[in-house]
Amino acid sequence: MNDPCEKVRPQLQALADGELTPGAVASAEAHLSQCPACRREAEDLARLSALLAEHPAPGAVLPAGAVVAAQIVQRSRVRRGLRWAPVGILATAVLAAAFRPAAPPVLAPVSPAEPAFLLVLDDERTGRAVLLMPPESRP
Amino acid sequence: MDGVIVSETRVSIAPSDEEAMARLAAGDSSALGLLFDRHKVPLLGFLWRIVGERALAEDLLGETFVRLYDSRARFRRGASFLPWVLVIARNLALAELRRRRWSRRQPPPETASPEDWGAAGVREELREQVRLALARLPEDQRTAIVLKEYHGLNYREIGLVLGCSEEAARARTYRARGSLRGWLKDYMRDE
Repeated sequence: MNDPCEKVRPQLQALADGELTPGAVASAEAHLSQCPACRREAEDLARLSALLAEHPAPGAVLPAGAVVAAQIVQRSRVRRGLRWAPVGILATAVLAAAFRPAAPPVLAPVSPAEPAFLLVLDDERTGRAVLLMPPESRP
Repeated sequence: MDGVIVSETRVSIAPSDEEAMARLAAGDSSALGLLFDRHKVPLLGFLWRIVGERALAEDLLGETFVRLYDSRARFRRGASFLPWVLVIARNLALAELRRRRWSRRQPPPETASPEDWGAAGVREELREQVRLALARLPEDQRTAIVLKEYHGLNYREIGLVLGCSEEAARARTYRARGSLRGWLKDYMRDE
């Protein structure tokens, strides 16, 4: 690599990012002082950074962290409760069946007004809990 | 230490982000508020530059902290907080972009020259040109240049966010700069 420009050009981004060692900076700057084309390249990188700085993010009035944290924690508790609700219902039913005194089985149809079970899903996008009833129990 | 008065006032040192995550994982939910207050503005800026809509960026900011809270037990000891939360934010933004089929179909930047505008509108138009040029980049390059120029991350951290090596992050930033220089060359003349 005899052309000094070929050696310096790949280093210009690192120079702009402040990543070069002091020795490499001195070497690159010595070349830039002699080479208008590479100097132009380095100046373009600096101008681009300045131009991007002309593009600040919009201001926003955001809620205080304490308020947001309280809402998120509360929401998480509700979601956790909903998620485990079917398990709790099932466990209660199993325990009730296990400790029920022996009696002849009663074969009564389930009332159509009461859903046999609920499915609790978690909407991936909104993060909200979603309650679904089986089709036969929908009005 | 001539001239230095050392008082006995107890100084409260704010926990680092990583210490705050450890507190949050241990059940101290006030640490979540601290992290939100500390990072809400830069994260909102990051999300806005990725999705291009302020209202959507605000929604995604809230969702980012919901996911952060849900994942608090999975934050590894020794990990850096900022790349970790940026991964959460970026994944949410990408999911939204995919949903809108918008990621790689950005409108091209306007090509009118600066001389066409009145002096009062030049600055605003310039901002718009920068916004459009950033939006035109592929998402990975856009994320790389945004994290470098606006958030000051190093290439190792950018690689963590993008899920690539440090060198690949450097290359994506380099390509992004090359594209932006081409698209914005009319605005990069000597001031």
